[in-house]
Amino acid sequence: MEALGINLGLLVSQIVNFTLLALLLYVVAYKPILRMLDERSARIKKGLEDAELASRRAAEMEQEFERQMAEARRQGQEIIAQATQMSEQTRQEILAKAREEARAQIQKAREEIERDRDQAMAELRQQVAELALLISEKVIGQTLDEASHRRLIAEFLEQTEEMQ
Amino acid sequence: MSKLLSRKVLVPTGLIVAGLVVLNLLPIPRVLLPEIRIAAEPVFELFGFPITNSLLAAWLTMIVLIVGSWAITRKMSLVPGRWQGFLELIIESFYGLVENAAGAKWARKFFPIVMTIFLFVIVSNWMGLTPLFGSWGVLHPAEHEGGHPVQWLNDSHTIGLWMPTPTGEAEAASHEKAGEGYILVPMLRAATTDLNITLGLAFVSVLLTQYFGVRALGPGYFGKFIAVGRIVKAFTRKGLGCGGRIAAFFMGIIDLFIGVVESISEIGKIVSFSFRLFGNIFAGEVLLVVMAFLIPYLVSLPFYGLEIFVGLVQALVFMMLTVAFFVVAISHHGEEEH
Repeated sequence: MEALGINLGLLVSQIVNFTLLALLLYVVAYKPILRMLDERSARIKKGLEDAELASRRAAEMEQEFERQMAEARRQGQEIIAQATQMSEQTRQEILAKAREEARAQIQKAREEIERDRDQAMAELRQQVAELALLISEKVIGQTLDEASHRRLIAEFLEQTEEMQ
Repeated sequence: MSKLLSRKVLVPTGLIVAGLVVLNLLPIPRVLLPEIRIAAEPVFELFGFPITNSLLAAWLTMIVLIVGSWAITRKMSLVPGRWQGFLELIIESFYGLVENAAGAKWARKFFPIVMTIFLFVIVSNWMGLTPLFGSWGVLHPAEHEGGHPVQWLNDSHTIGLWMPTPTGEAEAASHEKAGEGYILVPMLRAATTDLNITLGLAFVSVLLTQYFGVRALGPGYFGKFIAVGRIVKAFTRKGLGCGGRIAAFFMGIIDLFIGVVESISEIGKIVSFSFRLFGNIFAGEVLLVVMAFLIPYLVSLPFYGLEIFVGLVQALVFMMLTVAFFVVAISHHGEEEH
């Protein structure tokens, strides 16, 4: 033992040294480093989860966006179709109304013309009768009494009218 | 043969040989062979306690480890710098190693011990290879032959260089006989080249093996060493015939014997742990010293590489064996199943 240099005091001091070293290294190296490693792995795990969540949310949002876009497109189409339909209807209505009005005016104009013509005819008839009376007075020289004369003319005119 | 004589081999060999010849011819001081002693030398005494050079080296190792770790872990960040990454790499990989061997539950308990063993042993081994070790120390007048003259650097003869004999061997011999020779007691000697220190580590390892065994298995752990279970069963168990009892009794005797062998092997562990580490590192130091004594330059370089490797391997072996013994201690031995 002496030749090997084994000495109880030194042996015990080494055991104490080792214990001390293990404790101090635990405090300054193992604990902080293992904690840091755990923390980092937790952080990375969380980061990965967050990234996955974010990408899932992004996919969802894109889907939602697509859906809304489709909806908007569909609505737009609907509105356009509706508007087209409505304008067509309005056009038809306006056209119909215009046609109706035109027809009414034409009708009115025609009635007026007829009335004028009737009136003109009546006046003409009157004048023709009077003219005929005058002419016949001049030609015949004698006067039938005016009343019978007028009757004659009226008969005549009626005949001519019927002949027409 | 033709390959050995090719230019690729001959030219470097010739250069090395020529270099060695030139080095020996040049007036470079020779390297002295220090006295090789198995026991670590006390350098001074502190309160009556002898402080050996290996103990100083052990303290230095501890200081390097603690201050280094403290400096690295003082400002830890989630994004590690180089040093932090280096320490994390070491600790993480060894933790993985221990966890693989012992499982997550026990790894937390084993790790601080086995990691400290590894770090202490490897830092001691490698620091022992630096020029700081073995090259300076206290000069003592040689009590018998083997001393060398000293060239004093100051008038009061407190600082000196250990010099090779300047003029011929004969005169040197006469000087030494006259008691003018000095021997050097190095101030630092690799901690692992002291049996006290390797034995201390071995004790820690083996005692903690028993501690963990008891922690895991309770007092039943010692049933491994005092294996009386089967003998007791041979007498008490019901339903055994006379022949059965005798057979069981003899099996019990065998168990007892195995228990004794187990106890001896625990002591054997202490011896093998301490002498393996001490022997490897001490032999390496002796090898380097002798190589430097024979041929002062260049030739010891490959042996330094070898010693770096040996230092790493010995640290790993000590650590891994400790883990293995811990794991064996916490696992159930076969007795309960019978």
